[in-house]
Amino acid sequence: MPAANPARDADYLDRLRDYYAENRHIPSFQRIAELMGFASKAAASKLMDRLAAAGFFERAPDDATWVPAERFFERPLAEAAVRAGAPDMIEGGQGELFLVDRYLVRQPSRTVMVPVKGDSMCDAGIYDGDIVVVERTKAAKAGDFVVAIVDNEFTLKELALEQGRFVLKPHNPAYPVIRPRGELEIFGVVTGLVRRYRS
Amino acid sequence: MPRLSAETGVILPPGQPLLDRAVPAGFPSPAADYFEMRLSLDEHLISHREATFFVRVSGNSMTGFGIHDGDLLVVDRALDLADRSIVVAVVDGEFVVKQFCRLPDGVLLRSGAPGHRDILVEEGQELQVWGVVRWSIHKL
Repeated sequence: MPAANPARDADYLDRLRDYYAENRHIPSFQRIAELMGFASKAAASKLMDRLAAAGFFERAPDDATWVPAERFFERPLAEAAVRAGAPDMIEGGQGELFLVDRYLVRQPSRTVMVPVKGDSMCDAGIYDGDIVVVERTKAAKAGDFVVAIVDNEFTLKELALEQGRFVLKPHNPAYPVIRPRGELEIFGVVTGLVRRYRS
Repeated sequence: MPRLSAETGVILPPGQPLLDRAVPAGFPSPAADYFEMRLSLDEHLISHREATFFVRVSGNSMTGFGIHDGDLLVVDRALDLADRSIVVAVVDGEFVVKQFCRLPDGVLLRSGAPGHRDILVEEGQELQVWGVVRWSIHKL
């Protein structure tokens, strides 16, 4: 195995997160080596040591197995809110512990969270300040709530078909349907959201 | 906002080529420069772990507050009861989700949808507020 490399470790971590999301346990060194294509279990052991040092794993009480630590469930969070308002048009351009993460996140490596800004989706129950869970995907279909990129802006709308063309439909009569003149880029599909009622 | 150098799907009118973008394999950000922060949902949503319960909503009496049938509520039993909080209360032996409103001579448990009655709890009547709703979780 080559020397530790942050970008590669990030990729290994993503694979471990997806494995855990599917199987609910951390694989053995043997299995990690197979998953990552390592030549030896020692390399898997070193990888887990590095990820543990970074706060992603910790030893189980029996000291023989690894369990997820706090940072294992961190998901990327967008710095700026997604506009649920009209984009600025620029001319020319239980038996076990219940985890919210487990409930809302299917594929960790493709999941990001984006704060919502604006009220163009309020009739669909998505409000200003909500945090939406977005699965990055190339495949969106009419009826999906999507985060799309229009004129270099993120916008959250329902993807809809209108005379055979895809359009972005707000859920608030005060906002117009967005009919992209050129291509419509889908960043991801909204799979869930959380909303704060009390701090 | 800068163009995202992230993996994006592109929907084009029929007959146009599909544009594909490479995904940068940076750490920890899947979309360069835009996702520098990280958030753990469970850490973010739960303050008092031993006092926090998840309650699933049934019915549509609270849609006006954005709470829908099937939603999960994060209920914190250690949170102080403030006026206008959304609460889980026990009324006549039944769990209800309502907005807690103090009145001069009692408490009004407000529903958030037309056709659903508010519950007036007068001085001397028993009311048990089971916990305060801190978050709602909605799965699409």
